[in-house]
Amino acid sequence: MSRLAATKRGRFTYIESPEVIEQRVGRLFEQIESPALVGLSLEARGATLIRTYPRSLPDLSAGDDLLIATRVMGASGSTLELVVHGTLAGRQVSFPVSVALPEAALHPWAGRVWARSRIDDALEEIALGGDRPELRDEVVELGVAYNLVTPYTSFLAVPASELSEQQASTLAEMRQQRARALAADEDAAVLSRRNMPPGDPMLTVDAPQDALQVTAYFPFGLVKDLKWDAGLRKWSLRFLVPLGVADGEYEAVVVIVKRDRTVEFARASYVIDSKAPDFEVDAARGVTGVHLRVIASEPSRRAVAALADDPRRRVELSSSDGRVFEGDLPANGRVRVVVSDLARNETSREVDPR
Amino acid sequence: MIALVAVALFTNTTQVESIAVAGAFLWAATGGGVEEYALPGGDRRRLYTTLDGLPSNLVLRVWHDGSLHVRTAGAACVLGRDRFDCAPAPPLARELPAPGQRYRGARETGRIAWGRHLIVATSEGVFLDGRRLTPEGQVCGNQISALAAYDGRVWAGSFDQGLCVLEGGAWRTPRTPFGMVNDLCPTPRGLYVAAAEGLFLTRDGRTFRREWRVRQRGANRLAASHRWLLVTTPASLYAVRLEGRDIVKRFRRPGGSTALQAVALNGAEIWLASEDRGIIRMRGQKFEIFDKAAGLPSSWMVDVAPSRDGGIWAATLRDGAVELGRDGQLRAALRPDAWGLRLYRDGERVLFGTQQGLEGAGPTALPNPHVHALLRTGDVLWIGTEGGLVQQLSR
Repeated sequence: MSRLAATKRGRFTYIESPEVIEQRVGRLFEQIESPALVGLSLEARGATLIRTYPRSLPDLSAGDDLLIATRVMGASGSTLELVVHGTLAGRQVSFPVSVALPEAALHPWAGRVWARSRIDDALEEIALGGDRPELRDEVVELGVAYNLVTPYTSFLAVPASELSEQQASTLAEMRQQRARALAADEDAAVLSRRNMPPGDPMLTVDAPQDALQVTAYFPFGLVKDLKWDAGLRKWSLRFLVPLGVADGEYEAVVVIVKRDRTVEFARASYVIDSKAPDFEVDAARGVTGVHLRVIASEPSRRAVAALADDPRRRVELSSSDGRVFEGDLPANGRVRVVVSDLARNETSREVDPR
Repeated sequence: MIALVAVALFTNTTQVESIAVAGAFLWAATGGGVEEYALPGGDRRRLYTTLDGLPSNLVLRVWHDGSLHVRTAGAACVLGRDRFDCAPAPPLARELPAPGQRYRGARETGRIAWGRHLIVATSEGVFLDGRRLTPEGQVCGNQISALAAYDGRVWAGSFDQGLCVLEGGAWRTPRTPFGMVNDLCPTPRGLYVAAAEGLFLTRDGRTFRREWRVRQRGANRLAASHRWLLVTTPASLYAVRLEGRDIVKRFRRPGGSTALQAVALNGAEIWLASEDRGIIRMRGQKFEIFDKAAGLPSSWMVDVAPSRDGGIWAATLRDGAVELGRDGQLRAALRPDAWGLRLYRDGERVLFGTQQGLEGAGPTALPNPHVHALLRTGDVLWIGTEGGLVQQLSR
């Protein structure tokens, strides 16, 4: 019925108990009687959309959400223009949006949303056309990769001790697949700052609000539960990176136990960097002042040059790559140059223009 | 010279890391020291802290083999007659990430069957046969990030456990819509709370409403005059009028900063501490920057406090504190090797809380060297650290 309704731009409403019949039917009539935006279609320019769900876009009435899940084939760095066309109060309307295609997925939940939609679609296909091995395999692979429980992966929620040898072997193999799939989901857990000296960053984790446990394990021994933040709609934790932690790249591991007892791991990497950056500077006297060219030894945030004896006269040097900074200081005299790296460590150097 | 005497220490023992039982005694290693309970009643007989020889109030393990042993992150201790004797020890093995046992919704950290009784240690206290033994009335956290005197009482804001108030010798922790407190500021309108979740106001200490006109979450620090409350968020300075017409002004990216920390008032001048632009002075609507490019040791400032002559003291992240005169010239430097945390104007002097202790208050016995908050109430100096809240009588 769901597939039929979608194909014919209709609505499928599931009424789970007799108590809610009146409420559900009332809402359905409201929606049918007063569609606000009808005849919707989706146009994509600059990339190709595949396996887009829902297969046909429904009419929308006031208060409705429309979530479209799709896979995009396009060159990274290019721009995808999406336009939703429709009719609003008898007038043709369009809602365009531009998206720069990144090299890698920016939001791990996006893949999960699409996977859920694809699984639902495949399950409908199976229900309509019978069990097909290729569809069943796809459901299982997506279910394992994104930790979604499906009729074919319900064993994910069973304690390992109760699995048969065959199931345990399948599960181990699929978890390896899942680990590979999740390798692209590194930002499921994110820190408020990635590069830093010792300090007090915030860790936020995308996990369901009703998760039974969201616990972070830090490499310096701290184990701490995250709390649900209703404002962010994420789990969050503030923690201290103590003084004395050696510079390097670290990873906090977050254990998420969901309501259905499935377990996920999220990881947040961060760099402790307490060393000041090194840089070379060339200052050349010109007609109107000093031209400065700074080459930093590591990716840097910022470079500033100021007249040493009157630092209010200063210039922010510009850079396109975070390594080479250039600019003109409209004054002559000894110049103090300060470079800040990604962790805001600073180095200062004074130079006399040549 | 100020003499500091008569120390009281407040810690929180909710987070239990480990438990041990011997004879009719239960010991709990907690984030706020080692508790000793009598069994089977479950009455707490004693709390051992840094005042009793422990090097840290965060105690990670406890066991009994004829003597009572505990481990902190860097020391192994054994209980003598009345105090712990401690020696340096290598770090404990790290706990591996794994789904844990939950008990009453909290992370279970230990479980002992004692006769027919069950004792369970959790991140939310220790339980005997389902009854919580961990006492109520404790300070709300072990890391105190802000202190204020409001309505005749002392209020403590914690790093991630909300806010509490000392009433009749016990701490009361109201339910709050925030947990991570950055600063507190008493005003005639009420007590303002700057928290990671936003700016909040309470008049009665029980109900809290968000000041939505400060749009960003992440209210960092506060300062107030008679007429204005100043609030920093990472990328904005807000001025909330406290009397007369209800006005809120917003200054976006003052001085170009997107990483504001603290704010202070001295006369008509507003001084800001920032991570990325050093000290920023606001005169009228103009901003002036004092940073490393201007010859200061750092552009990363964590706090500011007014100095006596109309200038400013500024704490840097890791290059001590500096004093600028009204003319913007560097006047003095303090502990240039220290990692700065908090500055506090205490009468004629400035106290400097660092990660290496408290400067300017004479010898102090701190439970933890990281000093995040300071408050003077009469003869008492309150010192908020990462290992508890110290109450010291100074004269």
